[in-house]
Amino acid sequence: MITIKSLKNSLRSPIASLLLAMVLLMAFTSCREETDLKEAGPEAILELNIPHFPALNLKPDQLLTKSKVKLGKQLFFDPSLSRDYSISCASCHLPELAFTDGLAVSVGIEGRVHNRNSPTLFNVAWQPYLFMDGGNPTLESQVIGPIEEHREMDLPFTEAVSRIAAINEYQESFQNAFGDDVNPYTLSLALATYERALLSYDSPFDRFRYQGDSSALSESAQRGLALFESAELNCVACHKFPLTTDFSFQNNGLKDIYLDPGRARVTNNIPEHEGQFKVATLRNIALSAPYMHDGSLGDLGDVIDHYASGGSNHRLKSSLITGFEISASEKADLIAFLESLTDTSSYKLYTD
Amino acid sequence: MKFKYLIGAFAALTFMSSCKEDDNPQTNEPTAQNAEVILYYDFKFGDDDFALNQNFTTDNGEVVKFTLATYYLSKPAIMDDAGGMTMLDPEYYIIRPDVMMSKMGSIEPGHAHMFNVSIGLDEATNTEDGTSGVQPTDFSDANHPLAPQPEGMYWSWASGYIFVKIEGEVDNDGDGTFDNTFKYHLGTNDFRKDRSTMLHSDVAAGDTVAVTMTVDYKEFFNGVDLETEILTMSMGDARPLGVKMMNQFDAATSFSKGGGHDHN
Repeated sequence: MITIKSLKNSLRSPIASLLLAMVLLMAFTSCREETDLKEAGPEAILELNIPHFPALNLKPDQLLTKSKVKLGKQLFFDPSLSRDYSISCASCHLPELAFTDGLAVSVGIEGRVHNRNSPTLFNVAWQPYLFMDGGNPTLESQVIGPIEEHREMDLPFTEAVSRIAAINEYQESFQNAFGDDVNPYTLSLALATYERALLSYDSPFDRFRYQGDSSALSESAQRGLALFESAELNCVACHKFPLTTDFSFQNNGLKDIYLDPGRARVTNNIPEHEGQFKVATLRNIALSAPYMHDGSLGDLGDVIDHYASGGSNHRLKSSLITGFEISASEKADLIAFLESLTDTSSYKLYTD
Repeated sequence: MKFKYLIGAFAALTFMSSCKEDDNPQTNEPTAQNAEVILYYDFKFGDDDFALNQNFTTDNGEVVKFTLATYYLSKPAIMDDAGGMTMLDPEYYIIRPDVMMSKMGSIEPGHAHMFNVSIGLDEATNTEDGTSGVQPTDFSDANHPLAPQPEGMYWSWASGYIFVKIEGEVDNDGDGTFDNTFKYHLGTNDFRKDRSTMLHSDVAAGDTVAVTMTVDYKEFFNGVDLETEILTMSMGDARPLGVKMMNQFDAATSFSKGGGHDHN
């Protein structure tokens, strides 16, 4: 069993005398982390113990091993999971775009247009429910959604299981990873396991806030952080650290009329749920434009402008969206801070 | 929760009885000492036998063709005359038009007062709040009724099972061309229909307790405007139509004592 301390860059920190012993220990464990992950056998448990993140309570079958992650990754990039073999999960969740697709709304097989923006998958292991409306309780059952959805991959999950089971190489991989055949349980578990390995926890902000590295953030980003946490902007009311979301559902005043009812879709039109969407993580936010549930805001400047304006006058708009004054330089600072939430390297320790 | 059991002829029975052991050590597998419970199915469209992909004419003169007519039954039970309940195994059934009967385990000899079964799933199983219940991907046996089904009996975007899924086409004007498709995906906890059938039967060892479930799909369309009332996923603005069509299905369904080779 391997303990991941997620402190690989701690040696960069200025060594304060009072923390010397701790820093040395961190450096030691940091070096061991990468070595252990690379040397871990296929069945060694890859723990997701990020010291400044909440603990995860995974069921035994959900624990990560190299063989499970490798298999899930192979499936994630396999177009066999779409009806016409044209797209894979990765078509809408591109690694280089923080596992989003750069489009306002995603496009499925045969050019079918979805009505929602592709969300990042980073740190999805901590999501208590899936989809922007929270309509699904687990990563495993969520897997059915995009595979069966008409506007996405449009393949009955039963057929997905049959397709994968018909490939001898996969049968062998499933036996190695799970000791079981390809079936609904193991197929969904393999994909979910890969997604749980998509971690982002070692950004400049993390090193600044949680590892004492005062040089990790530029002065501009530090001013942006102060704005982010200020009473006036109060971004942290919903984008709570360390995950940068509290997973609540909010109507952020993006629209006057919501064609997509959001949370109300799954709660059978409870009126106060109209236009509510789950608060998005800001991890790697600089890479996942455009923004909002429908991708209607093109860049981070547009997002800040939206919140500064106070949004629409929708009757159910969150009371937290009140607007604020912000100068051009402050806006640049805030963007610098948001950019400091970028870490697209850590997950490779688990998935490469 | 993971369900594992052997693949083969005894897979389902092995699974159900092994799960049941956790809650209730009592088994109700058929033996010479008890009585088997069988639910027979009679699917019809008015006076005609019902089948998929076959044309039928409604009372309004519209021609309909069904391409899907699948539903869930759950938690069958026999109540004795003292109010005691014997829960039957298996607990869940997915029913399509080609299903003729479901063997529902057995009960001990005595008085069978009432047969209970639900159309749809119980609230504990059919999670909608994302914190409990089961999902299709909990099942390693692809043949389990609650595992993913070819026709898609689960709303992955709304975390719940579709209790009744009926789809097809309708020729509204009788010109020989289908004008519209109808899709009724009916579910959420409020939609479950608990049904009871009086048996009043003294049951001896070796007897069969037979009940017949009849679904008349002509009745399902009775009072439905097939020009406008043709699409609902039971949610959003189409929820009222979902409620109506679930009531239509309930009304089109009847249960009666006897059936098959029953000797009660």
